[in-house]
Amino acid sequence: MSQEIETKLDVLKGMNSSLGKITNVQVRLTLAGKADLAQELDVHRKALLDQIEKLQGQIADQWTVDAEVLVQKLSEANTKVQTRIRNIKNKVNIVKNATQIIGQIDDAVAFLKTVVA
Amino acid sequence: MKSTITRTFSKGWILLSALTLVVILTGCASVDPAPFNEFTASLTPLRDAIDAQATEAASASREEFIDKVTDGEISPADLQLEFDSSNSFATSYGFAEDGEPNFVKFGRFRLGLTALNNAMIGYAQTLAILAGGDSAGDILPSATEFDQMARDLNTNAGTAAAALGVSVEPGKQALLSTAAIQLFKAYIDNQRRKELVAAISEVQPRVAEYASSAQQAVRLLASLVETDYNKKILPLLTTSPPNADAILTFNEATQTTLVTLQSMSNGYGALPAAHRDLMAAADNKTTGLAGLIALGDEASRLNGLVKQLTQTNTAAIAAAPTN
Repeated sequence: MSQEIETKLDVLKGMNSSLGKITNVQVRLTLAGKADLAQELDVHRKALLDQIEKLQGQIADQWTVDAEVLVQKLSEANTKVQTRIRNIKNKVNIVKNATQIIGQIDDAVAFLKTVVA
Repeated sequence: MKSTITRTFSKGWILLSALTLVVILTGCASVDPAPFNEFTASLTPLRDAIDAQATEAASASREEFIDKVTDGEISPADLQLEFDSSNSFATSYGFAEDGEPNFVKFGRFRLGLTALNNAMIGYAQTLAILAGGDSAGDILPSATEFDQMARDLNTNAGTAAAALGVSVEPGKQALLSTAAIQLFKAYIDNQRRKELVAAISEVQPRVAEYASSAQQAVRLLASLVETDYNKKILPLLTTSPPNADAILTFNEATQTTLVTLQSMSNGYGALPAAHRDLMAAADNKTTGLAGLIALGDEASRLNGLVKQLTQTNTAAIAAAPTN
C-alpha cells in the first residue's frame, strides 16, 4: 500500500469537504438574491474544483503505476502455484507409470538373460 | 536368494500394513475444495462492481470534457494528439495546456483496476485447482482410478515376482498392492495439503497489499462521486421554482452509490482474513472460518446493492431536469 496515495486521498477528502461547504454558501447567497457575492464565490469554487480534479488525476496515475507492479507480483504467485500443481501431477504420473513398468520386468529379465548368456 | 527376497517381501508387507493402519487411524481425508471455490467466486462480484464504477467515472469525465470544449472552457487545440518522436505507436495529449485530460487518466486507471482484479482471480482459480476444485476434475486420481492403480499394481507385481522367481501368496500380493496405493494416496493428499499451506502463506502479504490497493481505488472512486455531487447539486438547488423531487432522487442515487462503494471496500477489507482462512480449510477445518464467511456475506450484499443502484440510477436519469 502506498502511503503517499493514502495521504493524497486524505487531502482530497478535506478538499471535497471544503467544496461542499462553499457550494452550500453559494446556494444560500444565490437564493438570498446576492448574485454578485455568489458569482465572486463561484470563481473560488471553480479554482478549488480544478485543484481537486488535478489531484484526482494525479492519484489515478500514481495508483495505476503501483498496480502494475502488484499485477506482476500476483502473476508470479500464480505461476508458482501452477508449478506446485505440475509437481504433484508428476508424482502421480510417476506412480501410475511405475505400476505399469513393474509389469515389464518379465521382458527386462528375459532381455538380461540373453545378454548374460 | 529366493528365501531372502521372500523374507524381504514379508517384512515389506508387514511394514506397509502397519503404515496403512496408521493412515487409517490418523485419517487421510482429501482436501475439501469448496472453500477455495467460494473464495474465488466472491472475487467476481467485487471485480464486476468496481469495474462498473470505474467505467462510469471514466465515461462521466469524458462527457464533462466534451461539455467544456462545447462551452469554450477548453480549446479544441488541446484535443490534438501528439505523436511520440521515439515510439511509432505512442501518442499523448502533449499539446494540452493543463497536460493530459483526466478522462484519459481514468481510462488507464480502469484498465489497471481490471488487470489487478483479474490477476487476483487468476491466482485464486489456480489455488482452487491445486485444492481439487477444477471444473474439469481433480488433479489427483479419483477413488476409482486409485482402485485401478491397485489392480494394475497387483497384476503387474505378480508378473514381476514371477519373472524374478519370487513366490508371493496371491492373497498377500493383493493386500500389498492395495496397501501401497493407499499409502501413496495418503502421501499425495498430504503433499497437496502442504503445497496449499505453503502457497497461501507465501502469497498472504501480496493479498494484503492487493486489498489495500483496491481499497484505495474505491476511495478514489468515492471522491469522484463526492466531487460530482457538488458540481451537479448547485444548479439543482438554485432552480426556480425548486424541484425537490429531482434533488431527492439525485441524493438517493448518490447515497446508494456510496453505500455500494463502501460494500466494495468492506469486501476488499475482508479478503486477507478470508485468504488466511484457506490455510485452515486446507486442513479440512470447517469451523472458525470467519474471514471466509465475512467475505461471502459482503459479496452477497454487494450483489444486492448493485441491483439497487441500477434501479436508483434509472430513476435518477428519469427524474433529471431537461435543459
